[in-house]
Amino acid sequence: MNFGSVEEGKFVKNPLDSILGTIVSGLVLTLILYLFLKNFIVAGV
Amino acid sequence: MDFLLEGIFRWLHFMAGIIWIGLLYYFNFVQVPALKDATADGTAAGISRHVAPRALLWFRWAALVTWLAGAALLGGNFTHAFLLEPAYAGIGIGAWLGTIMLFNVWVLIWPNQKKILGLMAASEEAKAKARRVAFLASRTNTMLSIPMLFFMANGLTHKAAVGL
Repeated sequence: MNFGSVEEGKFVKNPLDSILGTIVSGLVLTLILYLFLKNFIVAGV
Repeated sequence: MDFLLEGIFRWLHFMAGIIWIGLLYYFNFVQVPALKDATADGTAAGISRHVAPRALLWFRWAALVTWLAGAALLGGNFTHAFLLEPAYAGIGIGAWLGTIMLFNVWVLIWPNQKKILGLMAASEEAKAKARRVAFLASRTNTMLSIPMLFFMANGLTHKAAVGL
């Protein structure tokens, strides 16, 4: 097992340590930014 | 902006962007896993000495050319995009992500890679720290490239297609 760092006695894995975690994080970020843009910036224009 | 000039900036932006992001994916999907195996069987020196410095040279300068060509392409709309004004918000998000990625290349990845590759004097402890910082900055850029490419591709010319 590869544990990224330890905080407050708990093991915390960094998703960026794996390629799959990196890609999934990128897809989630895309969705978040898209919803932010659509609902808070472009909405009502 | 002159139609021909805009076409040339777009062409340059695409070519340099392909070199930059192509090498970013090469580092993350090919070189990092390969180096792990090569270190185990004692053949990593060839990659570190002959491949990585050349790849990094193209990588960092392509990043700068991509950003400059993108800024030139935005032209008078540069401020509108970076202020995320509604008509330019999509491309603006892409531009912000690209800018953060350029910062990571020149401020986090390249200075730390110089220590890792021995192009700059560093203790073993400093090298170990540099390895982690450069790795995470590179992985962060890989993650950011996913929304960056979505908003670059759809943020200005095809925004209606994705409802922006």
